[in-house]
Amino acid sequence: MSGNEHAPGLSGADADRGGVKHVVRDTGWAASVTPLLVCAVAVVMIITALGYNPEARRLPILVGVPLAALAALETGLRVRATAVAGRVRDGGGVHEHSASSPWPALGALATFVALIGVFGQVVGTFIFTVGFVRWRGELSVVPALILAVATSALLWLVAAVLEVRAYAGLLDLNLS
Amino acid sequence: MFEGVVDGLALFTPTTVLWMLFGVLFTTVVAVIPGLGGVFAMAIMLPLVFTLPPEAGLAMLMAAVAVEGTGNTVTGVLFGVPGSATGVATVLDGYPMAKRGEGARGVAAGLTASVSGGIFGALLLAMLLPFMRPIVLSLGPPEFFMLIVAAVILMSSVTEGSRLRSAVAGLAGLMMSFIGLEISTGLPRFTAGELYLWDGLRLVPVTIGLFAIAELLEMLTRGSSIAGDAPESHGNQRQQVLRGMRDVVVKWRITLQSSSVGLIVGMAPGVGGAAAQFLAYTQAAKTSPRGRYYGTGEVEGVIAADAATNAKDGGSLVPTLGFGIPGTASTALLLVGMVAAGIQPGAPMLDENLPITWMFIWILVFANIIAGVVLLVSAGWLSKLTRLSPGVLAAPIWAVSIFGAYATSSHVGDIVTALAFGLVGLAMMRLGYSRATFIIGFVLGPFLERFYLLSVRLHGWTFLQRPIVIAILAVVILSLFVPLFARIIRGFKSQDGGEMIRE
Repeated sequence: MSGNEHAPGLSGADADRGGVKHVVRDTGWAASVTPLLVCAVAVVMIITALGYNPEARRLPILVGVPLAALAALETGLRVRATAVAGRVRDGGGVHEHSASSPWPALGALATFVALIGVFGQVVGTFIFTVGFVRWRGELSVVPALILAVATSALLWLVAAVLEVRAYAGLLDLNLS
Repeated sequence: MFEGVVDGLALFTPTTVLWMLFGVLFTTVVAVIPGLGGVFAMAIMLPLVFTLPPEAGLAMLMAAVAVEGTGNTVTGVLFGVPGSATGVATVLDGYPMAKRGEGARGVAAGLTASVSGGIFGALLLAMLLPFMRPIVLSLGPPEFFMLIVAAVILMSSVTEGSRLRSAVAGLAGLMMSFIGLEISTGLPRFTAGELYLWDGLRLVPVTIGLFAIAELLEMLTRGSSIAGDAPESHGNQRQQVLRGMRDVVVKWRITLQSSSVGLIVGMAPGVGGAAAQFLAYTQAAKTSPRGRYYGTGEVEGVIAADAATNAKDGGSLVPTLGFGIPGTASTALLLVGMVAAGIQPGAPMLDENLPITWMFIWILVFANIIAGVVLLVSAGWLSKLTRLSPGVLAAPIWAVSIFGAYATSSHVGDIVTALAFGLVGLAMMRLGYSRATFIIGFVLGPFLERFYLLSVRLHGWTFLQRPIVIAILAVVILSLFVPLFARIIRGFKSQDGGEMIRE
């Protein structure tokens, strides 16, 4: 195994961290479904490309066919790895634990996007930064407020000085 | 030809120097802001050219051309957020270095490589002046097509996950690059009727999503800072900065090789800095003994990417000055400035305007040194930010990232793209797909198609018989099969050894 390849059941994120501290279960359904999804998208793009003129479809097909084939191969390998890992786990050979759930982080990002969508980038950033830094950064109110004001002011300043549009949100709070 | 060296220096009056400094500092500051980049800074400065003395206005624009990619290194390495398309390859190894607690070393290595690449590009440009015309004419679409094919084939070397998953990611990146108006017919392709997709997926939102948003999601999930629990054993910030600078000297071969690739690619009109970076990066990954560590925080990767970024500026001046054909967006703006200042590109640049040409070469050297020193001084304390908790860093970085994504075209679609690729990036990280190869495929895809179509139209399939094309193909085949044969031979030898031991 080369230095770049992971042991079965080890994700890329784990390999980045040295591959020994955490064993993330990537032999589960996501590891098999993802290449299958890539394969399906590639097939759809190839079929769509067939409707284009010869010059427009040539490279998408030349790239799409090997992509679909390799993704299908990866799906097969992951399915087999899942089966092997299942047998080893049943035999007590591997002790896996799932990685921390990304849902709280995704929820925070979704909240941020919703705030930007309603209040615009400058005000939305201020509200989110105060709340998030208090909650996750565990800073007291004053440093959280300072960081929020500084971040929002930076966005406002860049938008105003460089005449870049900041997203104004549904309330159209275009402060720049 | 070289009599213009002193004449070029003579153009550095106090006014010229002042505006050159303004060009360097303004571009460096703006280029650090994700999504804006040096071209944006130049677009803002361009109106000033009409009001300034010609030499001062051109010095300001030329300084901006020289340093537009330098500031990218800071945010790319420390936060995984490239300032513009020309800073993407720096992230691949720079950000993992920051995660290891070696942010200052990564920034210093990147900046020193940028300065070295910029100076190397300027020197080579100076030496190339007499041969400008034949060199530009010898490299056509077939040669550039084959260079990109080589990069695409070799990109599986830049692995974050397994080779197979890396290839899938790279090909997926290529496929995504085909979304948008098809270049030969101008008809929309894979756009699903969405007007936003007619221009294709924009590189900056895609990159911000894949790297900045995804990394912060992963960091928040993990609950540790960018540098994580990495020990302080890498030395204090000043030692790291010195080590990063020393890396560039020790790895001089990578610096020279990548600068050369950057310079050559810079000569191709329309190819741009992103392609120069990735071609140099993949080439370095394939030829270096440490190539298999590229993408995991290898300092050579940062050096290769950044040396090429600034060296390409020298190359892009060859067609700009020699033929009036800009090699990049920034040289296109320089050309506008030249015309506004009454300076005609082409043969006059090697004749009556030769001092201006030499002034440009000198500015390439001076501007790179000034920007490098300014950023190196601040690298040490900037890198301390990588030890802050993700709960403190996430909100400001997400805010700046989404602002940068939206700033590229003021379209909400860019925010959606960044968020969508943030989720894709998180999935790729967790499942072991290389984001590096994805972005390489995505960047090189349009060039691959453009040069392919041009080659076939201009030469038919005989373009494959051109000598330089054959030479590049031979290098690719050799680099693919020599390691394979070596492995087979090693296998036979170890078998023989095993049998001898058994006997």
